[in-house]
Amino acid sequence: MAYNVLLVDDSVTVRAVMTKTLKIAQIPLGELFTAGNGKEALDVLKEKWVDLVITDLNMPEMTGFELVDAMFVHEQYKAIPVIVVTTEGSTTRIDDLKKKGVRGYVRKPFTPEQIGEMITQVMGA
Amino acid sequence: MSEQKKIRVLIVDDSAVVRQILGRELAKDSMIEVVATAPDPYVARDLVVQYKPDVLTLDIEMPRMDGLTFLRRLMHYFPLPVVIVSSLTQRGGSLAMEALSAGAVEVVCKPGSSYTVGDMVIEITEKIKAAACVRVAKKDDGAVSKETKHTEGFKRLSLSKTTNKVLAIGTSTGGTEALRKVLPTMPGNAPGIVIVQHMPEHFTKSFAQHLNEECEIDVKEAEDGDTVVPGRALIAPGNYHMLLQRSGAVYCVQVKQGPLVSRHRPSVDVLFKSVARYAGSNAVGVIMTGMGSDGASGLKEMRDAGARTVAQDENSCVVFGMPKEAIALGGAEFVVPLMGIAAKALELAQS
Repeated sequence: MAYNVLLVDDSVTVRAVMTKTLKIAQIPLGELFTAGNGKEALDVLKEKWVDLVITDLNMPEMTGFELVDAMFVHEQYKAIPVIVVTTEGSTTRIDDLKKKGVRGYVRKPFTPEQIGEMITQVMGA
Repeated sequence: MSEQKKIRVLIVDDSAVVRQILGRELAKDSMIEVVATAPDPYVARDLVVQYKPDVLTLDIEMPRMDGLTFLRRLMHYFPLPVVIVSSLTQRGGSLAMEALSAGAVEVVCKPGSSYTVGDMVIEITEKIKAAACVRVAKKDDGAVSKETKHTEGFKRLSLSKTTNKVLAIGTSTGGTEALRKVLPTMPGNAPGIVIVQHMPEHFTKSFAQHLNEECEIDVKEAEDGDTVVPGRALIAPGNYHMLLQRSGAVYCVQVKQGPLVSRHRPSVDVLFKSVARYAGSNAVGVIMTGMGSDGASGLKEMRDAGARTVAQDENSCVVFGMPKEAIALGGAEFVVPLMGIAAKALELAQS
């Protein structure tokens, strides 16, 4: 068994670091998809079966907030767990996201252990 | 489907016992090959990609990702025929209904007190074979609300004069969705309707309740002695036969047990033959999508007794079995696509 993960971040560097992190964190990783913003993420979701979305919030074109909103009204996507990884520190905005259904939140900078724990907690295995 | 090629089945169930028993029992059938089993949807997804099975059996109540969510996503990314395995509970029945509208083609129930493993194996084997014949279309994008789609393109019909006619409908695989297209178009003064849909016990009740919410006419699971009156549809309860009878000037139904007829209970043949006997030329018979031949000889008897008869056409059938047999026996006066069935039936009821 392995999880297909969609990584959404506008920074190529962050995506590369996160990819390495996921490998170090010993997550059973299936396919890994990446997207540079919310819009690209929705394009990936349309074509690919994704088990977990890890997304940044502040991105050009379509933000993580907008992505989360779009996912949670969608019949198929609303069940996909979302973890937000961001520098955003405002607790009200984070609480707002959690109310909407975002399952996990990790503050940047993060350690592989934090990511691993969060994924294990969210995926419930 | 060629005779030599086996139906490749993937079993998804969180119970190791069920996986083992089902795997072993299904493998005894020469037409079925169990390619893999999965304990949860995540493993199942990987195995679907790896083996590309012809049919998937899915336990609808599972931990972690529930079966319904998995099914919706499966229909979106890798559409294939799915047979739902569900418990006999109220919740199980209602989940099964949702699964059928999400794209599953058949439902079987788990063994319980009155339902042995042997019964279940016979039923699931049959349904896997039926499912293997089904063409599964990719489900529409989930962004559209599912409720708007059912009656789209089907406008509610009207009927000028109320008649003392009886409309009898028989269907199997694909029938639940077909009925969800036909019945909501029926006007409130439509002739009394009696329906046999092959489905396990208890599920027929949930099915009737769901339909009742979508229809102008009343839809209920039949109880022994219920009268057949305009504006009401009675669905034969799973595991019981339903027969039309006459009590004075009114029609009513008898619901009873008895042996399987044409390999089914309820059997369409049982219903149609009783309709031929008691309603004769006052009846309209409709046979719709389904595997096998149940109802074919019954429809012929109805037609011989003076009833007007309709069979669903090949193109609009999920499985063109029962209508095909009925046409071959000369039982079908008209062959009509699903879209036109309600209108045709009403027109014939008025003539």
